[in-house]
Amino acid sequence: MTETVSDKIYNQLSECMCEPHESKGRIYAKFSFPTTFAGFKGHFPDNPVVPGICIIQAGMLICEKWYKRNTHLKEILYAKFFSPVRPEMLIRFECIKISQKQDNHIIKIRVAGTKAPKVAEFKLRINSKKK
Amino acid sequence: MNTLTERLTAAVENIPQKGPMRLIDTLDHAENDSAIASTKIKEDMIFLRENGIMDDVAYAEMISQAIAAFNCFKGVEQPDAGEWLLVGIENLEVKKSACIGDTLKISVKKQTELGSFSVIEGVVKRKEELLAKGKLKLFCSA
Repeated sequence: MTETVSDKIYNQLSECMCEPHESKGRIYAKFSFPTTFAGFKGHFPDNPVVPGICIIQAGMLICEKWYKRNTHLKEILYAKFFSPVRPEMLIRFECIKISQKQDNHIIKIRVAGTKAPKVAEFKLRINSKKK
Repeated sequence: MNTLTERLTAAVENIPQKGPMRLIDTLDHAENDSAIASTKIKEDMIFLRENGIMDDVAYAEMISQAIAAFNCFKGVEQPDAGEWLLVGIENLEVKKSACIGDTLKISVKKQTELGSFSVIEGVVKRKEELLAKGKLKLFCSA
């Protein structure tokens, strides 16, 4: 039987994540995007770069997996992308909960690479619901 | 000389995002500092979840691609119009999610341009219903 790999970005992102853990109230995880990652298909031809929105999706996925809750994006308060993420590049996410009011959270996420100390930084307003 | 329709079509063809990462179908209207693009969400769209709902972050990419098409239209009818990289997002609010079968209109308006950087205001609607709005900062590598 042949195993089929979903061509949807969200499903592929889970496969790219490793070593999620919590330390001092912050959540950490690493990501590496294989050359077969759907986000590289056409972004861009002969110059593959992880789309900035996939970096944000990855940050939301970390929160979703850690808290075991479905998350919905309500607002990108800000996002800054400093350095492109290439195939197989290992990047590290640090998620900090800034505030919480019932199911609404403000989360700040910093992304760093092994070569580039600053890859991206963003602050999100998300809503979470029990799965 | 190319007709307006041909120029609008060529503009979308020339944006650097290709294949499944191209999230807009057409550039429908363009004037001095604003444009409107359209897209229909189909089953093969890569930002869909299993329930047929699109990941809301895709709105930012749609706005980014609409402005890339607008720049190609304005420019610059050369095939290689450079790569437009998303370098920043500000206050992108999500009001409602989109799903398979929806046709979306993406309106973009250039607020400021400084060298290779542009600040864009974008609005995504489904008919008259506001789905998302916010500002993007883009860098052109051309």
